[in-house]
Amino acid sequence: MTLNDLKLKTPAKIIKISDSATQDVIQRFYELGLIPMQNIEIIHKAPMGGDPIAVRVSNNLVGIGIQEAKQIQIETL
Amino acid sequence: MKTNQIVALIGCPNAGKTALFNALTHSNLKVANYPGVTVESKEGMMMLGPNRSVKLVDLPGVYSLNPLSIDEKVTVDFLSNNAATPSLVLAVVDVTNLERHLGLILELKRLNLPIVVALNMMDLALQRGLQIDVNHLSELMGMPIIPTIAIKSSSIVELTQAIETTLDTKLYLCPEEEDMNLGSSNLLERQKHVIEILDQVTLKHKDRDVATERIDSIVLHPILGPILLVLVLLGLFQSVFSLAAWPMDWIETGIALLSDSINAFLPEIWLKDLIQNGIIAGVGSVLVFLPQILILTFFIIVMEGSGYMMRIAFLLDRFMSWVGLQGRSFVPLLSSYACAIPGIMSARTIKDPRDRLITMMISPLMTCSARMPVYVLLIGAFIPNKKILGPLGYQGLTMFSLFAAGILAALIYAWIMKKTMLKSAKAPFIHELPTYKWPTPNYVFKQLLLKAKAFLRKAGTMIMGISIVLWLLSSYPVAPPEHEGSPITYSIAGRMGMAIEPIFAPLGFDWRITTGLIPGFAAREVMVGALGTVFAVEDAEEAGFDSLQSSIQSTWSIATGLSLLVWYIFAPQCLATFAVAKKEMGGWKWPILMFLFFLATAYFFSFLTYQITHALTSG
Repeated sequence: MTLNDLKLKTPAKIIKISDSATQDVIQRFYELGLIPMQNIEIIHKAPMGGDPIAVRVSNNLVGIGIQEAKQIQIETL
Repeated sequence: MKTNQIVALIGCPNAGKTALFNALTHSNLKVANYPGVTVESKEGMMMLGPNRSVKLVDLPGVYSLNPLSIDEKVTVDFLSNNAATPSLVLAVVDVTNLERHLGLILELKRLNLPIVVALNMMDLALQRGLQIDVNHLSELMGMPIIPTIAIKSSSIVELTQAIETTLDTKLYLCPEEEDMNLGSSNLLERQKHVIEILDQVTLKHKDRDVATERIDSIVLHPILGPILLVLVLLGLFQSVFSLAAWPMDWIETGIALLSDSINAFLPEIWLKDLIQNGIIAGVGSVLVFLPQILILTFFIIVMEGSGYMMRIAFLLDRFMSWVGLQGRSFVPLLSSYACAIPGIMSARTIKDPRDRLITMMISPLMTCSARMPVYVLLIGAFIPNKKILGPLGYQGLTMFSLFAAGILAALIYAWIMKKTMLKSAKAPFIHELPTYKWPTPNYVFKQLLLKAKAFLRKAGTMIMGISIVLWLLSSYPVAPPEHEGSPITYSIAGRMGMAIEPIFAPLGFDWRITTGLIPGFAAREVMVGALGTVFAVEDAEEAGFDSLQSSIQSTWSIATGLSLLVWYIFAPQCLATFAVAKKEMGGWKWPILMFLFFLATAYFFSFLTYQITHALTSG
């Protein structure tokens, strides 16, 4: 499954970043610590349709748009 | 000893670079004219000993050496510029955020330069129970690492000592043989390497930041978050107007006192007229707005420094994307309320080139503080000071409508541009939401001081110059005694104003307004000073803001007043904004388009306003 399908406050693990994501998006993910094997959890969803979402990765908060979240493959723990 | 050695200050966004820069340098050589985010390099002198100084350059924050936005490119370009290679890199790292920040340091090793690391925010690490074996980290990284707290002088001393030693001994390990390719697969390796290192040096993991989580449970709440945002913005604009009222009164009183004492001192010669009606009236009418600009800047600095600004971008991203913008556009647009110039410059943080261009194009539509003098003057003259309900009055409502009209026009323009000339998909939103922290009073104070200095410099140079030129133009040639009508109609400015009057006559503008519009293009706020000069020269006995208001009231109809207000919502942006837009948009095409666009809109709506109001009031 991908990150956009994850329910609020459900712990999960990043499997990989989809190959279809652009280089810029992949780079930003890696720079902000969203790399495979890291635990991830959705903490907040923005008003108006829950886009973007705020996720916790290694105790830091990152805001991610729904389109970008579709590029992150995860599995629930 | 003054050396030409350069130390580059580098770090990820939110690592506390600027606070450290302020602590390390005493005097800034170059000051930038924008609050909050660093989007351009800044230089300062750093003392290493009693007799030794080096140049410290503060660079925009980057996450890696592969730039994704224009402000990041400034940093990477600086490091790869062979003409002025820094002698040392001072890398700032937020110790509570090593997972992200350490990767940048690993990448910096490829530069083959001596590196000193400031392990910043040690106080926060302590609070969150994080323990790092700094010596072991230093060994693994092969570079000196100094724990710092930016506001503590002892850590600054330690840091400068380490910089001096490293500069002199060039004591650093050679970079490991690494692939120079900076692709994303390397970044992944980089991040894995970081995790390996952190596993070895972390003695105790940090606790979750409970305070940030609690604040976010309200700030990012789907219902409470937007309500809080509206309250914050209401509070912001309320303070800009009501809090600033007192210092503005003091400044006005001071200017009046100065004018009076000059009146008593100087004999009736042309010089007195120049000082009173040229310089004091012109510069004074602008100086009055310093308090408002500082209050708005204060809010922006605190919102950016505390971490709230990125939450606003988060909350507004979806909303802004409807009109073709993104959450990150909010910061430039809010900055534009102080002045469009810092607004346009901070648009550099927007990655998508089309979104960035749209944001810059609409920034001048935000009601900048330079419009305030004109608004205040005209509203005071034409809108009755009556209450509608509670504290809400007609004057306040008009002011609110002017602000709202600017925002509405900006959103419509953005939407049109996104649908036609600048089509693109929604830009990705991937942003760090930093932990909340209070910006230190010292940091806030220094940033405000920079802003005040920049404003005063502008008032003392450009606006003073324009005031003098305008005074000359409106005083000479001196009307002969047999000249009928007011003396100013005989002067160059009066003749220029009258020459273009027919073009603006359908908008209800008379020659006095068109005379004021000419210098008003150089800087909007000068319009008030110019009108002051025009009316004072016309009727030399009276001067001052209140009398200007009553002269306007008795000279112009309400239709003209409203038409001029509407004109000021849209056009014309000042010369300085135009110059910055040309630089930031990379050519003449877009700034000229922007200028014509605004001019046409202003003309059209002023025309409508005048004709409709005229028909209603004269009927």
